[in-house]
Order: sequence, then structure tokens, then C-alpha cells
Amino acid sequence: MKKFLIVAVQLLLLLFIGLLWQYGQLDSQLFSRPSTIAPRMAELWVGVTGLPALWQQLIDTLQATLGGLAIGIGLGFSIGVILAEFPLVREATAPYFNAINAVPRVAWVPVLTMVFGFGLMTKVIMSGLIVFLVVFFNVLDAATHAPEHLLRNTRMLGGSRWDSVRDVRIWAGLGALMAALPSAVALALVGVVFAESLAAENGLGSLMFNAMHANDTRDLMIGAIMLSIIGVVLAAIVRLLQKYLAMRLPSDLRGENHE
Amino acid sequence: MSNHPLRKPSGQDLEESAEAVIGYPVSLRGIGKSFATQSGQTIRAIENIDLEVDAGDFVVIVGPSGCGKSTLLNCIAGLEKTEIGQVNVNGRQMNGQINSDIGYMFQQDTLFPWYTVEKNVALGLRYAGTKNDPESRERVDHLLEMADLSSVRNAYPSELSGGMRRRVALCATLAIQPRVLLMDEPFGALDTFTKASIQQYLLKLWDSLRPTVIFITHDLEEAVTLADRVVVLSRRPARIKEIIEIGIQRPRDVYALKDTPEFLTDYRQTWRALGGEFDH
Repeated sequence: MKKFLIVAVQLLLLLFIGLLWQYGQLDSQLFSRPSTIAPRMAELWVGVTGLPALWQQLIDTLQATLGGLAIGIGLGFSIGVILAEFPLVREATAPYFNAINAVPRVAWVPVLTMVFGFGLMTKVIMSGLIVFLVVFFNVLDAATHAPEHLLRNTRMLGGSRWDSVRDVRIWAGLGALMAALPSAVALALVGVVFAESLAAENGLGSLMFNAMHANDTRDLMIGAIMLSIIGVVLAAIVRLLQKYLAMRLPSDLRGENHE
Repeated sequence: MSNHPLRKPSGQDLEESAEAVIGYPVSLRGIGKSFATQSGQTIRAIENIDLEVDAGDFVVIVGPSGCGKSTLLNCIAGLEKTEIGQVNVNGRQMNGQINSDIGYMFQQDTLFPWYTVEKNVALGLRYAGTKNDPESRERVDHLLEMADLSSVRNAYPSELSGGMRRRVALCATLAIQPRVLLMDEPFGALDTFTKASIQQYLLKLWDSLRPTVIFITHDLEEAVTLADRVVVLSRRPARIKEIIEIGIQRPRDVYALKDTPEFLTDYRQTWRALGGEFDH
């Protein structure tokens, strides 16, 4: 009953915003009315001359975002967990990681475009780099400060360094990964859209960037709506993942996000 | 990892070998250790400790808190290096290196929260690469059964009570069949009833495996209940003040023995030995 009420209010709110948008005192030059956006969206969905179909753009952006997440999480997590076990390597490489981290994220786009050209590769790597940095530093910190008594216990039971990584540090890192996931997902999308608007011919970022140049506020709105749908769906997936991980991790290891 | 042909491998053998002792003798000769504080001072933690522990003996070390008991245990375990003196296990000198002959049950909860009870108990066997050997499986089964944990073998540590968790930790330490079992205030956080129950389990398991045990506690009742000998340490720097032979017969019933005159005599004697070490 309570749930039903919440959904009802949410729908009413949507209707209210829609009506305000349609009939309110807005500059229709800057904010296209829903009545003009809807048909345009239907048109874009199947594709107009000079533009890829909207569903194609959606898939392009989603693909690059998921690719970036996979690369960033995979590398960030494994390198973080392994460096945690080897203090010498960790300290020797720290300045370099810090230097990479110090460069404003978006400044990488021109560099990556030079190397990888316009297209999917640049988007994925841009997004992967941002995700990597968030995940890596969080996981490294948590895995380095893994519970000392568990590490000692592993050693006393005859475990090797690899055993310490597998039985203690990976799990300590998982808590941090879980906490960092929401920001990782949000930043992955940022990376892709930014790369798209500067260095791509497809994807929602390029759609919006082109719309800005063409003064087409309908396409801008459509791009924004599509991005927010992707964002909401990804966030929901992350919450499911967090729930699953939370069941397997003790509460004292559910780390904090330090980013 | 370990290559001890003498070690009794299977659970069945364990039962049959109730009288056999697998423990190694431990000898401490002139052990001294100091550490530096942050302000640069040097504090002597332990000083000139000489102790001979026979194979299969149960020795309990008591002393004022902060007197360096854990440091002493860490030196035997190889987790810390001794500065002065020698630790010999079965005649072999320990050089601050971890050795698979030694099991260590820590004060903290050292169960891996992400593994089941069974996996926790078998962890040391996995490290040794013998996890899937039939005798290893049998040993794990046997330990779980003796500690009344068979019914929770697939549970996670967070689903167990404090006493059960300690029993799992004890089984995990015993699964690698240590020759020497070091225990650092292992039951310190338990309530009186749970403590008595796990002490009974410990005595039962010790009796069937007979490793050499060096047990640290600040609970004198616990010391007298478990030990063959109670070693009383002085305030820092820790020295051996007195060694009390405990005359209570084995096998012991943890609950019944508290009423015996032997217990009361030894308990009083331990108190008196330690009494001088308190600030009045």
C-alpha cells in the first residue's frame, strides 16, 4: 500500500513537471516543449539523415561505459590488491600513480585521441582511466590496511604471500570496491560522454555536442534524458551488486569511499 | 610444506594414539628483548628467561598485564626475533622464522568471515597442499566432531556464538597438527560459562593429540585448571618469578575440579606468587 502511494506520487510529480514544462512560462527557444521533443525523439529513434539512430547512440554510449567500468574495475582492483601485499613496489610506484591522479581527468582526452583516434577506443580508455583511479586508490588503501590479525594468522598457518592476497586482501579490497562502485559508475559515464563530445562521431555525448552547435534544443534535451536513463539503470544494477556483496562481507569490512 | 613422517595423519590414528605425544620439547635460554618507544627510550620487555618445556606438556604463563607475555610467545612463534638468547624447538634453533611445527591461537577473532567453518578449519591444510588428501579430510571431520561443530560446518562465522567461534579457531590451529601450540589469552573475551565449556574441549583435544602447549592468560583460575605447570612472570622487565607444579590429576573435569582441595591449594599458591607483583 505504501509502495503504491509512493509510485502514485511519483507519477503525479512527473505529470506536474510535464505540464509545467509544456504550458509554463518558459522560453521555448531555450527549453523545447515536450510536444516538440516527443515527435523528434520518435524520429531520431529510427534515424534521420546525417545522424545514427538514437538506439544506436544509446548502445554506443552504454557499451563504452560498461567497457570502461570493466577495464577500470578489473585493473584498479587487481593492481590495488597486489600492491597492498608488496610494500616495496607500492612505495616505489606511489609517485607515478599520484602523478597520474594529479592530472585533471578531462585533460587526458586530447592525449588519448592522439593515440587512439576518434571512436570507441578513446571513449573506453578515457572512462576506464577515471574508473581505475577511483577504484585503485580506494582498494589499495583498504587492502593495505587489511586486518593485521588475519594476515598474521595466515602466516602462522603456513600461508604464502599469494595466500594472504587471496584470503585476506582481496576481501578487504572488496569492501572498498563496494563503497566506491556508485562513484565509479557515475564517473565512467562522465568519462564516456566527455570523450564523445570531444572525440567521437557517435554516442549521446556527440549527439548533444552537435545539437549545441546546431542550436537544436530538442536534441540536447533528448540526449540528457537518455543519459539520465542510463545513469539510473546503472545505479540500480550497482545497488543489486552491493546487496549481494554485503551478504558475504562482515560489516567491519564494508569500507568507506575515500574519493 | 611439512615433512614429518612421524606425524600421525588420520583421524582414526588420532583416537588410537590417545597416549602418544606428538609435541616437541621447547627450551628457552636466556631470552631477552627490548623495544624502543617513540620518544627514543629503550624499554626492556623481557629479561633472561630460562624455561624448559617437556614434550607434550601443558604450561601456562601468567603475569601482570603489559609484562611482555605476548612478546615471549611471538619470539617462540618466530613472529619476532629474540635479541638475546635462544629458542629451541625439538633441539632446533628458531631464527625468527615461521615454522609449520608451531600453531598459534591468537587473542583476536582470527576466523575468516568470508569462509565457512569447514573452510576455516581446513585453511592450513590448503596452504600445505594436503587439503584434499583423505587423511586431511578425515582429520577435519574428526576435529569438528570432537568440538561439536559438525552441525555448523557449512555456517559462516558471523552465524556462530562467541564460544563456537573460538572452538572453530582452535580446530583450525590444530588441523595443521602443530607440535607446539601457542595460545595467547585465547578465551579472554568469553564469559565464565562459555570459558569453562571451551576449556573442557581444549583439554579433550589436547589429550587426544598431545602437542606441547604454551598458554598465556591473566586468569589464574584458568591457569590452574589447565596447566601442568604455571609459570609466574614478574612485572616488566619480565622475569620468571616462580614455577608452580599443578597436582590435579588428569584427565580433568573442568567443572568438578574447582571443588577439590588440590585446586584450591594450587590456586592460592599462584595468587601468592603473583601477589607481590601488584602495586598496593
